[in-house]
Amino acid sequence: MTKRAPLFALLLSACVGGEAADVPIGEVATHVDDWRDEVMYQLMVDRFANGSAANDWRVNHDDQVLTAYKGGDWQGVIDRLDYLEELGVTALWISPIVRNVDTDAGIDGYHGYWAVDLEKVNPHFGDLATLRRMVEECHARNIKVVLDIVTNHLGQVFYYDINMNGTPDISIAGGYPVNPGDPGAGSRTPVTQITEYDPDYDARGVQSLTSLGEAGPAPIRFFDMPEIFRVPPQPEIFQRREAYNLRGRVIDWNDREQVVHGDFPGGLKDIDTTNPTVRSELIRVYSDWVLKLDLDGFRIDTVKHVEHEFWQVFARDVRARLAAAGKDRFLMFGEAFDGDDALVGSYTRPGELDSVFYFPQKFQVFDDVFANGGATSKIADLHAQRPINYGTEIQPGGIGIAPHRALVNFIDNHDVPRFLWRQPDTRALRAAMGFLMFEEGIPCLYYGTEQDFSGGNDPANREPLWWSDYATDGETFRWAARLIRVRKRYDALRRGEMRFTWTSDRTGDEEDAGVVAFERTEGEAYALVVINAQGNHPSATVFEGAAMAVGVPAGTVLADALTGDRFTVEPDGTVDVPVDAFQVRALVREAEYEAF
Amino acid sequence: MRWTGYPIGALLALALVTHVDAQALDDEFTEPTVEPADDADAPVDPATGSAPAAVSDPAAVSEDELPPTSGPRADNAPMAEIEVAETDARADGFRSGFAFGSYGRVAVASNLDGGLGRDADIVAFAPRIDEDVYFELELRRQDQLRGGARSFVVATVAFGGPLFHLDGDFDESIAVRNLFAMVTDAFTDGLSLWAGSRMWRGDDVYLLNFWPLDNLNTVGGGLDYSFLPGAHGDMLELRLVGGLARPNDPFHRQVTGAIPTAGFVPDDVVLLDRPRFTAGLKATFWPAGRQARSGLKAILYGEGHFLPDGERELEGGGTETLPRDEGYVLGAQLGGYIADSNTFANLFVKYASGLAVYDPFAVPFTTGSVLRTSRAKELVVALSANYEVGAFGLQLGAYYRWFRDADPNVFDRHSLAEGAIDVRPHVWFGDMAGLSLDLSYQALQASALDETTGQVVRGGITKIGIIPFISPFGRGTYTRPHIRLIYSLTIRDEDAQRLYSDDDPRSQQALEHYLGIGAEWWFDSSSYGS
Repeated sequence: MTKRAPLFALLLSACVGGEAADVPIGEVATHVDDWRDEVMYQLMVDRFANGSAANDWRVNHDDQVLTAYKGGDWQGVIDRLDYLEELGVTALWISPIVRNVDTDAGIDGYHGYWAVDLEKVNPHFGDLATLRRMVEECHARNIKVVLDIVTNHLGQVFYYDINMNGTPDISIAGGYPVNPGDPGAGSRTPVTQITEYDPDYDARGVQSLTSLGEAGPAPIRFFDMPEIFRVPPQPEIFQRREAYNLRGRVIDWNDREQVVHGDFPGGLKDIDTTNPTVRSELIRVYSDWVLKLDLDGFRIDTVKHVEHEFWQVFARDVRARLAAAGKDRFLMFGEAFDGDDALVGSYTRPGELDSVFYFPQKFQVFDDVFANGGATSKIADLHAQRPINYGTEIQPGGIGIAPHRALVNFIDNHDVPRFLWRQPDTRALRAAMGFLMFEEGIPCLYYGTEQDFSGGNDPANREPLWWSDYATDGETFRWAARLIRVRKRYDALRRGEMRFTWTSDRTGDEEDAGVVAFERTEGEAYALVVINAQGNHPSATVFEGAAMAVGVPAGTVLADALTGDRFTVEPDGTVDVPVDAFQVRALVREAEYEAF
Repeated sequence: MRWTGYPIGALLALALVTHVDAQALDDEFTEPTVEPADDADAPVDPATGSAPAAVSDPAAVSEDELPPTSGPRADNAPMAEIEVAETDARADGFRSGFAFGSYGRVAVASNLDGGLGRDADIVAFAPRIDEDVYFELELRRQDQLRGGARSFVVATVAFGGPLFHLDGDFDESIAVRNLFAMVTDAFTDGLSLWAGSRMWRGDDVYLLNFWPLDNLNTVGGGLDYSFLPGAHGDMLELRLVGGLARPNDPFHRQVTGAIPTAGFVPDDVVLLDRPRFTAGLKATFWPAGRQARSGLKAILYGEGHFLPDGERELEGGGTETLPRDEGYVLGAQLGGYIADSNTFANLFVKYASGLAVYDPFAVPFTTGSVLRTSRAKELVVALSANYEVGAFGLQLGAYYRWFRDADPNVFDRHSLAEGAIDVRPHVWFGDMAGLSLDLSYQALQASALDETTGQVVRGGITKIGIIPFISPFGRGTYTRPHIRLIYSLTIRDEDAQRLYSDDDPRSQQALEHYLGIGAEWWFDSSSYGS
């Protein structure tokens, strides 16, 4: 209760505000010991669970429509924590929480990436107290919460008034004969479309255009449509021209200048993150959310569209502010949607982020190998690049783990088709899940994977989870839960260093085709993972008489934590481990074996 | 006949239809109310259950003494002399004929910053010092019939501001508030029956413009029955009302176009049609009778609300079933009064559950699939009092309200506690002029957190008002009309400022002025009481 509230305030507080007053806004603590111990679960709030009908505004219940709000909210997350606990995940990555442009061009901002007010919550998902209570309930179950944030752009909050007529236009021009009346003139002027919502990139900045030609930088005009939250953005700095790069939409994704300074397609206005005021405001508003909600990490959207210097300042200042409040080991990992391993890794340079979303692995391992049957040698090849392309130094004030050992691994996510859309064989998915859970780094499971969801490109890959009835008896759900239990049980599978012991270039009928095997060692802790990534035939860790050498002494008996099968290390230090099609084995010392 | 003793309310209807042993008690006629009212506005003397009917005599605020023998009703509302029965003027002053009455208030004010003054409230029932324009015009035909019965036909038209002379819009908001016929003492003395559209109300908290208990607006009918006085002069009255309301909104009614049976113009098809039935029962007990110069009054009150199920089409296709719903109100009131000094105090307690928490004209839900109100709860405690001595008077109004809406959210800006207290002392200068101070505080607290501060959503407003007034009909807190000069200073705390949108200037204003002139009157109006 504030000092300003006399008289009735005590009575009021006792009778209705009690629940809200008990929400510990501003109290934070460190909830993580080692992020590699965590199993992350990415959920889109709008699609996970609908816990409160009170915020079902603009909800479309038609199952065929996936571009609209579907009703999920933070109360729904609270309501389904038993489900998540049974699955075994220990960290939730939730989609953005801030107020968005509600709808644009017939598509709703249910995903959260169209921010309009960075200091207010999106009312479709609930209110601040419910969100804080959600975090609190998660922490009570030892589940951490990672917030998805965007610093690169806002939603489509203004348009470029290219023709300076004060209204947003889309015009098509051209196609006229170059020389009317000349029968020989076949060429015509090019047909061009100019949209003031989302014009093409111009390195000079989007130019205004009149019938007489260009007329200088185009004015920008903010929308004023409060009924859809499409209003001048907040904080106030974002109502000024200097807060944006104003160069129009990226059209050449290989041009770094465009990628960094261009608008994101869809008219998402690129923020000038070199502006000191902009930087300080982004640091303030996002670290404020951490302090209000006791969050445990940021997943940061579109990091490759922002200059490195920003990340150096943002990461440093956020860490410092949180540490001062008592929160350490705050995870910041970035999304660079790119297969370029060096580019993705560059955001983990000293002083930048703790980790990144490991897109190169998604493309080269989960797609190429597990979904498409490629050679498992690719896996080791890519892994060998980790210490080269990713930071090997612990970030000052960061999570305490070098980035190359704490990459956030994933099979699929909300921006790519689900694994089962590419490869409908659920055995392949389960093999991929085995690799995800037992490899080095932080595993991240996209919601619905455990329910065999198979949606294609966005938005088909954003199915409401309630379509599954939250079943916990499905084979994939039970498999995921089992893998997670095994991972939690063995230190080596969580924190152990990863060393490949067998991969193969062979993808046909060969005896080791599809085999990938690796050891995880952490001190005395040891595990040997053997996976057959192809589904045509059983394979083994042998080829033409050569067997797999391992790092434990001869005579060591290894037990498969998933089947109970025993394998003894031969006197020459090798072990032959057969694996059925798409089988996953996690071998541990027999003495440590527990049936799961 | 009229019953003596106090059978429980449930036996009332049976008793009324099975015992018609006439027993005239002409000197105890229950006067059809002569009370000012509006949609939530009319002042009622809470001690007595009815409004003072434009009286200049402070002692005349008791309904037991209505109609007044002085004041505007007698002086200002002459009736047409149309005789129906053998008598046209009874001992109580009743006169057959047409009668006209009115309640109204009108004001215009400046905010001393170039704009109009406006109300600056954050709670549901706020101090009325800066309230809006509203007035009623009531035309009534009343007749004394043979055998002692009387009949009434009442039509009340209400107008809401702003007025044409303010906004230039030649189109005021008009509503028919009363349109009913009533007969009293027709079958048995003490029994009144009515049917039609009617405001049905009890006592109010004048300073807050608030009816804590009975406040129904319905189309239906009802009956009142006054039992014979008991051995000690004690009296019991029972009132029963029932009626329907079906607002024209998608929660209650949906009409869609269909391929015409002939021609080209689509037929209208009513898909959803769910009127709410509301029934109210009120028992009022006067231990010392209704005629006592001082005494007590105790009221028990209940309502039942019932809404049938229905099915409506959704915009995106498909249909949605709206389930049956219901709710109830339980309430009580305890009052005491001293008529000679125009002094009274009334304490109200009301608990509502389910559908009854929401006004029959309201849509309980604007979103979502939770379509029953069973979770909704409301508790109201209110106090109204008046004290007058010599040239001084003191009015008090206060309430506390705890409200939990129907959705299951623990945190919700719609779930709140609020309250207000308003104290208005008066001093008279002679018999026709006076000065009032109006000191009030209102506050609310919601079950939600402010996103900017992380603190509980709350706010408080203090108002300090000065009201010099002229009262042509003399002294008395409830004497009207009043012609007033009004100044009010609103002081918002920082939390109250945050209740407004960032774009609203009030989100930045700690102080707001209201300086205006206005008038309020009532006479022979608003037949909603007993």
